Amino acid sequence: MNWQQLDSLSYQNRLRFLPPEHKLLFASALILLVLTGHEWLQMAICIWMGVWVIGYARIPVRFYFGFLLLSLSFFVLGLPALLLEATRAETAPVTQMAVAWHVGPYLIYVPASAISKVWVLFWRTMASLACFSFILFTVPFAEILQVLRKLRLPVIVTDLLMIMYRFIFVLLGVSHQLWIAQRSRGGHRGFRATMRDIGGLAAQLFVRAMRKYDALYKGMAARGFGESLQVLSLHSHSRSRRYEWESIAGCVLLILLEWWTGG
Amino acid sequence: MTSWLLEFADVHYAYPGGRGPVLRGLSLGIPEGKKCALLGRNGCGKSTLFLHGNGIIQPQQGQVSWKGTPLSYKRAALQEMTQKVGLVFQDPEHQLIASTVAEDVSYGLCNRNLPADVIRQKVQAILQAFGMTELADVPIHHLSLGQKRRLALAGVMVLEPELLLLDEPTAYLDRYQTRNLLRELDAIHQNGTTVLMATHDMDIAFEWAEWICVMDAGKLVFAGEPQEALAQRELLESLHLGMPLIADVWEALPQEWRQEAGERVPCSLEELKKRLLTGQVAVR
Repeated sequence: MNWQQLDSLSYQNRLRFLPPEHKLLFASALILLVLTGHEWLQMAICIWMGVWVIGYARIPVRFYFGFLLLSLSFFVLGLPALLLEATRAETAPVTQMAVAWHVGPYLIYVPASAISKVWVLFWRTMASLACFSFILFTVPFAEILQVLRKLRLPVIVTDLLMIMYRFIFVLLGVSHQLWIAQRSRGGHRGFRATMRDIGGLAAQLFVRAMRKYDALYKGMAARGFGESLQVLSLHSHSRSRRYEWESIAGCVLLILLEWWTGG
Repeated sequence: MTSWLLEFADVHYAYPGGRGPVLRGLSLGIPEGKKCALLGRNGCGKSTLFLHGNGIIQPQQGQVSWKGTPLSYKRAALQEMTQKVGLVFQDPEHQLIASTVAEDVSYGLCNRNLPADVIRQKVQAILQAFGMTELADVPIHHLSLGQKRRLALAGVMVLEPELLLLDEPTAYLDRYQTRNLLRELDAIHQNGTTVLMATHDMDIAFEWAEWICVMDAGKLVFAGEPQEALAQRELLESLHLGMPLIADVWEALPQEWRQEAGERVPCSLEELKKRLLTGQVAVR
């Protein structure tokens, strides 16, 4: 999975026609529930979001799980810091230990309380990621920007986001071209050469980015650049009763579940 | 004398940090209402000249005038110039700014502070005219080079400029797309826009243009009708621009054929075919 694929999916998914405001509102409401609720609620949200992303939006399963796994890897990297504790063996505290190892004079252990904490954190992370993936996969970035503009976010922020988004692909394109050029001219042979070529690529990328910036500035001036970047979209969205009904009913059910399991 | 729409008088310009002046006393007039081609080899200053055309670059010496009045380099006046003179860059990547096709077309209109409804209408109309309605919500980085070129042109044409400057618009385009582009430029010209195209493709220039300018090393060396340009064979060859293929073929035909078919050198394949046909009939 790379940026470009993610981007095209967000433009081609089956939920594209829904108003972006609705999708963002829906996902934000769920994230709020995730942050305030308990594990049962979070598990339910995970599954429900999966149904939306895979079932309704028709995002390929491997992309959805690929995204979750990739993002979870950051959580996994943080695990040792959350789980492991170490003290000198003779001053070991009287807490319940799930596992413990003696290493020389030290005792390294995993407290039972940490495990339940990680369990809570895991489901919270999973559910938030699921909601976040729903936004990423179903709302194109250009539409997120439009919603942000409607929300009266300062113009400078939306302008910067728009230019950054445009430049991500310009730079990806340039670096890909450079990489192909290096490969086809016999570069990237062996570790040292690869390192040198990557260094050259990064330097060239910088030089070319500056040149692109200069050219783009002239391009914008030629098109009558004023104080801010303003654009309008033609895309019209249509509301769907079926999806609105399901999202509202689902949220109510989730709140009831939370209340019932003792929120 | 023809009335010049845009006139450059003795323009000098050197890029800061560059290796010497790019424009060295260039004087050139663009006749109103004509299809013009600016010929010149790579690096002779065509692109720099274009950036002078709508005031993005201010000449270090000399003067640029629009319909007889010198350009003002004040912010508001420049904003107005960018609307009258549309500039299409060689690399469309340099002028596409927004994230989707429709948004990008709307950019120039938004800069003019038009009401949203008018903007939507205009965007829709131009996308229809350029056959890009289906692409309206496609992100720009999903487009092919040909589509990006068309989009850049649409984004400029939506402002209805009086003069359209195109920098090497046919570079890297295949035959089919080149034909399409020339047809679009003809339509634009028919609607009353003066068009100036920079190119080094002699065949396209002579087939399409009604006015030919030739630049070399930052100076204008020739300006006139295509027939006059074709008479300057030595000049064109000394600049390594060469002659259009059709003119060379014409030259290679037997003397009597040419006399039968008329003295004028044909500019396009169609014209050559027609002339030969009438010539043959006359010989028989």
